[in-house]
Amino acid sequence: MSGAAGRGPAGRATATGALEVRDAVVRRGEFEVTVDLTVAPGEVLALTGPNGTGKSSVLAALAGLLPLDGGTIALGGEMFDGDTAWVPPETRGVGLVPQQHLLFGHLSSLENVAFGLRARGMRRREARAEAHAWLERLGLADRAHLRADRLSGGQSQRVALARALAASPRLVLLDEPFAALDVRVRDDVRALVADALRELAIPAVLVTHDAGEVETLATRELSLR
Amino acid sequence: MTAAQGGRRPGQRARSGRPPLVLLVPGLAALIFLALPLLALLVRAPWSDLVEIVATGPVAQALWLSLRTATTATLVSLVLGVPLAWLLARGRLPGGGVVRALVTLPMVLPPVVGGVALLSLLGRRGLLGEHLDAWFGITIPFTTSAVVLAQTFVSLPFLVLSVDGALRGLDRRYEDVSATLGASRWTTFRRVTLPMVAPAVGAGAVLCFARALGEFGATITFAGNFPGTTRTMPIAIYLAMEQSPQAAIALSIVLVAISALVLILLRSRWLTALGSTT
Repeated sequence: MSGAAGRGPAGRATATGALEVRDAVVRRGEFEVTVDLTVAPGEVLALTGPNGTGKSSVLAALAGLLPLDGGTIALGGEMFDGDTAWVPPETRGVGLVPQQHLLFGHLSSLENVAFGLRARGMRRREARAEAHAWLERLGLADRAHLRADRLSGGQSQRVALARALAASPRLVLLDEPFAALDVRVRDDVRALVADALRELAIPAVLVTHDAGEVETLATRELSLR
Repeated sequence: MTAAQGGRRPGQRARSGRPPLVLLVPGLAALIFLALPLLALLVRAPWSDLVEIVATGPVAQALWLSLRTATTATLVSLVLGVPLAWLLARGRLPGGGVVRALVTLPMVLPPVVGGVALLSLLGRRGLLGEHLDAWFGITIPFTTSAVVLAQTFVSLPFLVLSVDGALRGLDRRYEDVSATLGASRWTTFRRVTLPMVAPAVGAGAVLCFARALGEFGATITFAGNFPGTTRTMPIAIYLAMEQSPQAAIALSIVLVAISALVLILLRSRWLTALGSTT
């Protein structure tokens, strides 16, 4: 697995900057939370706190799936969400690894990982080669042509990670990305993700309940109450 | 749980036993009521002459016209209906409920009313038809195009409602993830949404085809009854009934066979599999 490190897009420099969130009011139904945070490129901010404190909603707001009710979100100086600005999710370049993987079940693992590259106009052959490198890196090369809905939970989670990272995001959001993983592979995948994040040198926000994960992956922790 | 129970869960035991007579008798009566007429059709069918009757020029003509127009109506419904379903489910249309009711209306409307409505719009003195005739010399009523329009009018709702239901039941988060990966709404629709609702599109298209194939009221009102151009199978059957009931039965058998085929398609696995391999 580690032999493949350095291949694929991870080494490519991605133009990015710090994530700056100021007095952002995230509202979903009755529920509301206000957050204020800064994450520098290469930093991993752990978002912790009990269930129902809106951690996933904060990620949705950062990804552009949930407009703010107030405050601002900016990445590398570009205003994503504010009084006069709104950047839709498809142009934000924010990678999201959802808790329930949400792989496109009708596509193969490879096509899932190549999806973001293709959506941004990369040629089919190149996109597939790059996607393949990512799958190899995550130890899933032999599952490349399997339909995503036939993968096990742990495999799905790794494909979801590869799908988000392969698209060269400027910011990556991880919603309990290791929860579904088998204990035996969890440490390996965690190490791979740590490597990839270091190489990509982009800001990352990690939602987790695992104190060990905060310890090994995160550079800082923000606890929502 | 003991071996004697044969792995049956406790709840299942209470559900077994004879159904109450109050439900059994009317239920069976309904089943017989639905099955007997079809059985009579099969018994009365002139099996020995069937091929001969169906192969005669006028019948083959009507069958071919029906298959052609119903297929065209289904294709038109797919091209127009899937986008309409998307607008209903995702488009945040103002007054979406009213629009949905409007789409459902042709399903519950007597088809002959649909025919009169189409004439009021596209007839020679119709709202639009008048101008089509005067400016372009186009007359639609009583042509094969009119047959397709009548069939589309009554069958399109089946497709729209089937796809609309599937879209509303679809987990929006897949489309959200697609957007975060940089896909435009069109790309998301093409590569994520549509493949995920493909079984509903297939089922809707099959229902649409069946409805178009059986269309009578709107067709005879708006398109008339001209052999070769507008005399579809249902109209041919109705006419045959006056001269030769045997022929009418033979033609009906053909439509029963096609409908049965449609039903098999609807329930068969390949239709659901179709959605997962695209």
